[in-house]
This record gives sequence, structure tokens and C-alpha cells, in this order.
Amino acid sequence: MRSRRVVWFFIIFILLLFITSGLVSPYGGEVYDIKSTNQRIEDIRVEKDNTIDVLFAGNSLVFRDLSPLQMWGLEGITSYDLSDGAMRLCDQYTLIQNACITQKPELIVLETCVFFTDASPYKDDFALPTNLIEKIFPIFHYHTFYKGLSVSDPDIDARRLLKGFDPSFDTKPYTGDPDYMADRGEVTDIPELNRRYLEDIMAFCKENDIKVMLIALPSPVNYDMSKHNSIAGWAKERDIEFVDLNLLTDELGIDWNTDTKDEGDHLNFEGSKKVSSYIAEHITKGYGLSDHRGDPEYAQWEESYEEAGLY
Amino acid sequence: MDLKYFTECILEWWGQLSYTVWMYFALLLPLTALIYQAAGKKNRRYVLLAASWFFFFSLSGILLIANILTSAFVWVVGNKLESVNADKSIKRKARKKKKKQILVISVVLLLLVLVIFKYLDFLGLNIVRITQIAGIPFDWKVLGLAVPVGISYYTLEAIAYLSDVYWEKTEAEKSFLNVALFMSFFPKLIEGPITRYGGVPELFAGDGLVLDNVAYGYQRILWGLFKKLVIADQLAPAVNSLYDGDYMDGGVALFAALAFTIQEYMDFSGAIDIVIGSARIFNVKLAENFRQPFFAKNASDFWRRWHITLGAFFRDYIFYPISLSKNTAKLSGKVKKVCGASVGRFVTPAISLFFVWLSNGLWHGPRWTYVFYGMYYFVLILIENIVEEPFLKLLERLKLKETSAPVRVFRYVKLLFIVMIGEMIFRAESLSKGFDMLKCIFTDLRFDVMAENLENIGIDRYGYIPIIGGLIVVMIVETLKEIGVPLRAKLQALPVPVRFGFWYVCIFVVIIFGAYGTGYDVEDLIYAQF
Repeated sequence: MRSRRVVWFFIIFILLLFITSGLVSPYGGEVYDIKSTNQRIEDIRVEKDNTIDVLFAGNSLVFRDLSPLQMWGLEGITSYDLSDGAMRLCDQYTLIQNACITQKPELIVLETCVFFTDASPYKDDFALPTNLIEKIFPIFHYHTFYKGLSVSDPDIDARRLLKGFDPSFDTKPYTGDPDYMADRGEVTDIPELNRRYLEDIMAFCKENDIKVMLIALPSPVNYDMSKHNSIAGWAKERDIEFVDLNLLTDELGIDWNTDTKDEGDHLNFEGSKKVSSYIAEHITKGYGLSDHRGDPEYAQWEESYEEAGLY
Repeated sequence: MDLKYFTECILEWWGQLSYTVWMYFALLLPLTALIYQAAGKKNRRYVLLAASWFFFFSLSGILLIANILTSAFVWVVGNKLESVNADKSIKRKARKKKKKQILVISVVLLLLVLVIFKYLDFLGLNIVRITQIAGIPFDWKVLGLAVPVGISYYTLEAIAYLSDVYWEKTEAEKSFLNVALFMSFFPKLIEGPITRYGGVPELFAGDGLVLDNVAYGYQRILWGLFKKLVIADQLAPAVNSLYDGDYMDGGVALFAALAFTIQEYMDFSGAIDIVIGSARIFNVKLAENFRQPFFAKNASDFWRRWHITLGAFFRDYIFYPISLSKNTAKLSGKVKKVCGASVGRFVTPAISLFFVWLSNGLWHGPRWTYVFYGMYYFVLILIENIVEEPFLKLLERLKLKETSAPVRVFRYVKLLFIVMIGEMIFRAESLSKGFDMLKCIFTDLRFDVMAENLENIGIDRYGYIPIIGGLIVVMIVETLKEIGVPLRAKLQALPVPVRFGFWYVCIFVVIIFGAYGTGYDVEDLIYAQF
């Protein structure tokens, strides 16, 4: 009798593990950081359905350097920074899928720094048995799901107002090699797992008729020519455009004494203005994006632009 | 998947064994229990010994030899002491002298091994400091020896065992297997409790699993995981960031001390719950190490409720032997003659307490902060002993009962402050840093910076939910235990579906709010370092 009770206890426990796992697993695939993924999904869901034309996906370089509201002011295009600090490609793939439930973007711009960083949904790839348990019962992997649930938070509200953009007004000059993009004929390989996630993203975009463009934002800390060569080769194979702004810093007028927040890792607000202005014009012309200014459907963009008061 | 990668994964995985990782309580424990049950009465001790040595090996590798050699040494010396005892051809006095020699030499050797592994660099570096001041050229190359897991605990257990055999309180164990199992039993290996040889007869009995014990064991493990993962480990990033940070004011120092006090209690008592639960699965009843310490009425009472087995060890093997020694009595008599009986009566306890608290401080490890921590309690408890009587007289005059609410609140607040200050110094990187923190409380007490930065110290707003909620639960449970409510019995009396529901809620609270996996670092058990 008592042994039967124990067996039932475990059967119900396993069932509860499956049920809760189903409830907390994100739509689209495995992610590394459920908190950040859930928060970003909540952010984009706040946007009116089918109003975002461009999604910028990537890590912190994206939300520091690319300003959707500035692009709105300049070209009238609607875009969103779908990014977070140290974001992994697995999270990015899931985020893109979730964003496309309510939005029908014409273009997805992938920032390429994440091509070379860890793409695994797991904290420790060597912890095979732990990862297996997390695969079977995702509740163990996503147990911090509650941290990504929507709350009233001034930081989140500010970021939503700026469409995912999170500028920094600090300045710490870059004093390293000014010729950091010198070509030594080296190539940094894109890791196998990252390639697989990139193929998944490409397939998803193709299926949903979304154009893809690659971009490398100016960052001597994160880029060199060996990475450029690798990305350029990958983009060429797939016939997609790759714009490396690290090769255009003179044209953009980037001053490493005044335009970086942290010694060449990210741009600050001043630097972001230069990059956003260039990208806005480039994608509007290159991908035939529409100017929505004056369209009452997009009145909220005008309001946000005014409320932010940045430009 | 190639074999090399797979092997590396498994090796790395096993290297992380600890009481709070799932592979311990969800794999090692049930697997050992199954084999234990299947092995039959005669072989069950072998199963426990194999599991213990495996556990030891996974954490300390080849240093397992140190534990085995210590066990062998203790086994031989224990039997030698008993054979001397039984040797009626030697006169009683000579026999006692010989026994004493054996005991002293063996205790010195045991301590020597402990010193070599744990304190050698500390001693060397401090000799360098002293010789530098004296102008004598002396250099010490830091050895950085790896320390066998649990050496501070099993060395004390060995000393207690040999002393008990010496005092004829316990018989010497004839079976090496039993001694080796006692010295390495995996549930108590990392954090104690410091166990007396005579206190765990079930360990050697080889009785089969009992469902009630298994259930109790896992319920206790769950409670331990709750304290450790939901409270202590959620607090750990804040404690680390406050202690490692550059900024300090009185508010920050107080918050850091309070956070560490909570973290340490939840960490250590949680681990002990897991330890006691694990042992109970094999029918072994280990001694309790905590008894609602924050309900203590003063510092000495606190130490009768906090790390009880360490206090009991010092009481039985340091305090009493020193108190009862002829030399102490002589000194006490001399002081009484010179200064009078009122002063003289404090001499014996003062001398004994001094050695108890010096040992307590040093036992925690080779750091001056720990030595200070020991001396801090020595002074406080001595003062308490002196002022307790006048304090009670004062209460009488004020017509206040000792058990009245204002007196109890005063005592609790005083105790909390005493404990927090002690922990503040204990956790500090150095004595000077600890004193700086203490100084801040009196010279720069402000709370605005701390209040503004509650979310910038490694805990986000959601991190406070499990910490505060968990603390409320622990406080309720501790209060009920203190007033003698039999919680478990009440729970057992509930209908099965309600009980099932209760345990599912508890399990899922730990699963959801526990600090593990992505976004958290694995926090080592604090007392495993000592």
C-alpha cells in the first residue's frame, strides 16, 4: 500500500515536471537566457501589430549603436533593436521567431559579433548529463522564467520608448591600434554550432519572405579583419549583403576619442548618431523601405520621437 | 560523440560533486541506497565505505590516501590504548602514564598532519613577517598544498575517538572497516557534524532501508536545499559584491554583515539538513548541529545552539580537561589569594575559555580574521559571565522578569548585533578591512547609498522575492520549533492528497526559486572551506 503510494507520488511528480516545463518553455526553440528572452519578447509585443519594417538583431552593440527613433526622424522607417547584452545566437533565433508572430518585417539586419561568441543554450557544454535533464524537463533550464515577466520598471519603460535602443552618454576613448582592420590574410572560423543557428535563421527568413542583411558595427574590441574575411565569405556564399562599418569609420566620421563609451567596445550616443544616420539611409535606399511619417497608423512613432526628445 | 569528449564531460561533472548539486541527491544517494539494500546485511558497510571513498576521491583525488592512513593510524592507536588498558602486568600508575604518552603523541601527530595541510603557509608567512621586523633574513615559498576534503572535521573526530578510548568511555573498534567508514562516511564528510564514535552504532549495523527513514531523509534534504539554494545562494552575489567592492559606509557595512549572517546560517544549517537527511536514508542518526540559534539569550547560549557539535567537542576535549587540570587549579588558587574570591572564581573558566576560543578561531582556518573571531567571543562570553549577575539584580530592582517581552527583545537585538559584528570581521578579506567596516558604522552611518543600490549588488528585484519569502518561512518554522510545535507529526497527520500537495509545492518552490543553472554561479558550501 505504502510502496504504491510512493510510486504514485513519483508518477504525479514526473507529470507535473512535464506540465510546468511546457508552460515555461519559449516558443521557437531552446534559449540560453530565458529572463532576457522573455523580456525582449514582452517588449516587442507592446508594439502595434505589423508596424515594424526592420529588426536589428544582435548583442549589446545593437542596442548601444542603432537608434530606431533617429532612423524614424531621418527616413520615416520603423525598426526595432531586438538585442541584449552578450546575447547568444540560440536566443536570437527564438526571439526573431517570436517577434514575427506579431510583426511582418521586410528586413532583418543581423549584427555579426554574435557569429563568434558562444551560441549554446547551455551554461556548460561539458555538463552533458545536466544538459540532458534540462532537455527532458525544461523547467530546470527555464526556472528563472518569472524574472522576465512584465513589470513596471523605469528602465524597461525607457527602453521600450526608444524601441530597444539604450544609449550611453559616457565617454572613454579608444587608444589602441587605429589600423585594427589591417588585413593579414587571416580568417577566424565561425563555430559549427553558430553556423547551424545561422542556417536556421536564414531558413526561417526565407520561409517568411524576409530579406537578410549582415552588419558589423564599429568596435575595435570585437572586430578585426580575420572576422571580416570569415563573415564576408559566409555572406557571399548565400548572396546576402554584408556591411562592415569598421571599414567605413572615416566615412562615418567616427572619432575614437569622443564616440566610444568604453574604450572601443561600444559606441556612445554621439557615435550612435553617426552610425544610425548612415544605416537609415543605406537600408531605406537599398531595400526600398517606406516612409511612414504622416501616416495616422504610425502616430505612436511620432509621439515616441517627441517624448524621447533625443533628436 | 568521441570517447575523449565524453570522458572529459564525465570527469568534469564528477569533479563538481557537492551536497547541493542534483547528481548528489538525485543520483549518488539513490544509487548508493539501491546497492546498499541489494548488498545484504553483511556487505552493506562495504557499500557505504565504497561510496564514501568514491565521494572523497571525486573531490580530493589521490588525497584519499591521507584519509585512509589517518583511519589506519586511529585504528591502530585505539587498539593499542585498549591493549595497554587491559595489560594488568603493568602497574596502574605506569599504565596511565603509558596511555597518556600514546594519546599525547597520537593527538600531536594528528594535529601535525592538519597543520601541514592547512596552516603551513600561514605559519611560514607569519614567521617571515616577524623575522622581517627583527631584521633576520628568512624567506618562505608558498606551498599552496591541496587540502583533503573534510580534514578539519575528521581530525577532530579522530581526536575525540582516541580520547574516549583513553578515558574508557568507549571501546576501541576492532574492525578497520568500521573505523575507515566512520572517518569517511560521505554524508558528514564535507561539513560535519563532528560525530562521536559511540553516537552512530547504526552506521555499522547494516540494517536494510526503512521507508520512514528514507522519506524523512529526503524531506530533510528538501528543507536543506530550500535554505541553501533559495536563500543563501540567492544572497551570495550581494555578499560578494559588497565585501569585494571599493565603496563602504555604515549602512553598506551593516547590510553586508546582515546579508552574510543570513547567508552563512542558511548555507551551513541547510547543508547540515542535507547531511542529516542523507545519513538517515541509511538509518544513521547524526547529531543536530543547530537549535534555533537566533533565539539564544546571550552569546554563550548562541554557541550552544550554533555549530553545536563543534562547541561540544571544545567543551569535552578542551574546556573540561583544562578546567580540571592541576595547573589551572593551582593558578586559580593563587589568584584567589591575591585578588580575592570574587575575581579568583573567574580564573579557571577564563583560562579554559581562552583556549576554547583560540582553538575555535584557528579551527576555521589560517587567517587572522578567524583568530580575532575566536577572541571576540572569548571576551564577550567572559564579560557576559561577569555582568550576568549584576544584570539580573538590575532587572529585579526594575521589577522586570527575565522572560518579559522587553528583556527578551533587548537580548535578541543585542545578540543579533553581537553576531553580525562577529560575522562582519569573520567574512572580511583582512582584519584591517573588517575594522574599517566596523569603524564606518560609527563614523559614517547613512542608508541612502545602500537604499539606492539595492538592485546593483548582484541581485535583481526578482532575486529579493525568494530571499524575503524564504526568510519568512524559516522564521515561522524556527519559531514553531522553539515553542515546541511538532511540525512533522502534524504534517504526517494530514490526509494523503494534502500532504502530497504540500511536498509538491515545496519541491517546485526549490526548483523555480533555487539559485542554480543559467545566471547563477555554483556557490561552494561555506563550511566546506574550514
